[in-house]
Amino acid sequence: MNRLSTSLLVPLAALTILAGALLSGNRPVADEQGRRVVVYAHPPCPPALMRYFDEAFDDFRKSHPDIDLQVLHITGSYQDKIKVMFAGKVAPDVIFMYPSDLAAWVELGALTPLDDLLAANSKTRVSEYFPAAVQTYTYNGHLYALPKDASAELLFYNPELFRKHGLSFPTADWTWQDMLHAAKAITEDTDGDGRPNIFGLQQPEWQAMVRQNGGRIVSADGTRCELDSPQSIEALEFWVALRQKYKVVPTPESSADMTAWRMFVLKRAGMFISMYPVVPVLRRSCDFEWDIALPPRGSSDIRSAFTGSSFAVTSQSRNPDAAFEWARWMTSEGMKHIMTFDIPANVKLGQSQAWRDPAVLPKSKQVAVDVMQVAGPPLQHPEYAQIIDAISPHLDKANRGDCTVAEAVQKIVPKVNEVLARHAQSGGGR
Amino acid sequence: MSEYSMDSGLRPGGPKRRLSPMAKEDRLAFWCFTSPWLIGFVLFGLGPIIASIFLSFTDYSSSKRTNWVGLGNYRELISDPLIWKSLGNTLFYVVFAVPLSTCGALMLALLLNQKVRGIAIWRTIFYLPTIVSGVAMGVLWKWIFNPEVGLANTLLRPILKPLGISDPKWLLDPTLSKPAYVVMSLWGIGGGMIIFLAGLQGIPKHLYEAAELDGAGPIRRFYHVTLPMLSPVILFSLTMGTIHSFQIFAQAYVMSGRGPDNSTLFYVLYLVDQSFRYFRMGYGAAMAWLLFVIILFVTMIKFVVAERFVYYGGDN
Repeated sequence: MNRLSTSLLVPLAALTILAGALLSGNRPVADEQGRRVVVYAHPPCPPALMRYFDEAFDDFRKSHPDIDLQVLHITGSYQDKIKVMFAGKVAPDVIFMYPSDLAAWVELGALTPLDDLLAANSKTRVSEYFPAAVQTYTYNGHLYALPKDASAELLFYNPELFRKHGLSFPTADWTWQDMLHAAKAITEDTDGDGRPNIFGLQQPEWQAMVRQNGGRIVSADGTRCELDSPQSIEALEFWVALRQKYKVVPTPESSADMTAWRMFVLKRAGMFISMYPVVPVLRRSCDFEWDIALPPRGSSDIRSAFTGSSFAVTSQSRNPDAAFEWARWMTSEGMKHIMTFDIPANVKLGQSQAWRDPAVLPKSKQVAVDVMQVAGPPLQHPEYAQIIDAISPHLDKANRGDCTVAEAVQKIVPKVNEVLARHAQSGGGR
Repeated sequence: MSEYSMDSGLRPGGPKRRLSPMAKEDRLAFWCFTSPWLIGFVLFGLGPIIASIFLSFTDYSSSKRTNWVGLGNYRELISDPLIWKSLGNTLFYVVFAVPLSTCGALMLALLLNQKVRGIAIWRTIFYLPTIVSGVAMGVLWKWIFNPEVGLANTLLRPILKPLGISDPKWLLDPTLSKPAYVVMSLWGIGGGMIIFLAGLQGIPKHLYEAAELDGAGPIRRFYHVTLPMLSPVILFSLTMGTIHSFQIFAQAYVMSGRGPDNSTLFYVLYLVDQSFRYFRMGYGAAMAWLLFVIILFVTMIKFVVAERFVYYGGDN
């Protein structure tokens, strides 16, 4: 190596090492006033909702003068940024988490089990949360997050369209056939061009239909794909038939890339299945009456999957006690600031009059709580994203009518099994 | 030209020369002007580059204990069918988008090199799209390619309908999704156009005059004067275009994701999925190095071939 290269590379390498040392930051345990620092990474949030979160942050600071709550407002991809912070050993103390992310975070060793912290806490008991919500955030026997809100899939419908076609409103014992009957009646070609302009239904997620029919994506022990079970295949065939045979749901081209709720808001879809958090959007956007009902029944009692969001204390937290206190407060006392947007996972709040304000839609708010009785846990697997990516292209193909469901499933099962086997080999698994 | 021929005072093998005050000043200026880039590169580039080589031999996933897997990631690259699918998709895009964009930029530059009124305004108009961010461009083109209400089909429908051809589904159709991206690549030809314009204006006028005196018409003047004199610029444009096209990501991320039947699963999109959705950052690092080797290989071939076609005598 010549002298020029040496003279350049040595200082450059030294500078790199120095920069690495400087940038691998250590966050302080306490601030200048001796208060314990808790860094909470807040996900991207619409301004209408952020206002209420800000109120909650201020309220917490007032009621906890010994804790310095620092809020990091994450923009863009929340997950990616948190992962990068973990890699840099500067992860926040508390993160916002969805159920589908739980397994992956736990297996990465990113979360602190909350069992001991909760047991030592006198203010909140685990029994204060909906049991299903607690079950959702329990992994390998440990609770890893405190549930903020507990949501499940609901059927949203436009009563005006139901009345117009002489249909009775969806009830708790509605079946897929009832839904299909209503969807057929509502679907209409208003401009006579041979293509429907109003659709009875926005195509539900295939996962929801598999669940409603008692099928599973992955077996309970996480070792094999079960989309080839008769219940799963029947559900997927009905899902495809909604588009290909009955033509009561829009094709991607006819929905013009619009989300389910947008088609509904524009009165181009009479029904759609979604989670409760779409409620504030409908309140803001709909200038007509709308309501919610339980999703229709397949052959199973389970009609819906739990979702919602939670707060988890990270394994890199330098103040796990204070971090836990923030998560606990936010899922109990603090939740009152934002509960018009969510179904509180805290049972007391979920049953409070404040949440059930009759002045705001939907009228049938009780359904949003009742649905918890017929909801099951969502698929929780550390390789969730890989599993879904292995399935989606083939189901899309079947949904386009380019192959049958049986053909798609034949290709899906070995691919998912391969992902599961690789995960097991790498030492993972529940 | 050797790298030492600058008046830097550094000569291989020879005794160290005493620098004149002016040379010292030049040297200081060199370091001052290059230091922002150098410091930025060392802080944010060199470290990650070195680290990624190491990580590509591990199962690094940002939080979990990292294990050395040797060539495991590279072996998996060969057996992963989606690697080949994504490479095929990316290669399709590179093969069609790069020549098309380069030709488009050259033609536009030739048009905008004319002496017409308001030429500066025209140049600005054609350059403007290049300053639109990749994500904004993705959102715009997603609407253009919408089969029902998009601009593309609104314009094509009156032509296709009488012929009995139904509306193309563009991004929703596995066979048309990649060509849609190739069409979209023309949106950014303004950047290449500016470089070609600079190249065109650097061609000495006397060469055209001499060719004209020899009886060469416009086409012969283009082939025998313009094209050879522009060949270094064309090589630059093709090289940079190829490098950028191999890394297509933002538009695909916004417009179609993996697309129907993984037809728009471009290589970098898959790399990001592996690294940031599946937490397999070691494998992602190996993918990045494979892409580096592929781009390096293609660029080297281009330079070898270019020796026969590129004319560097313009300055002499």
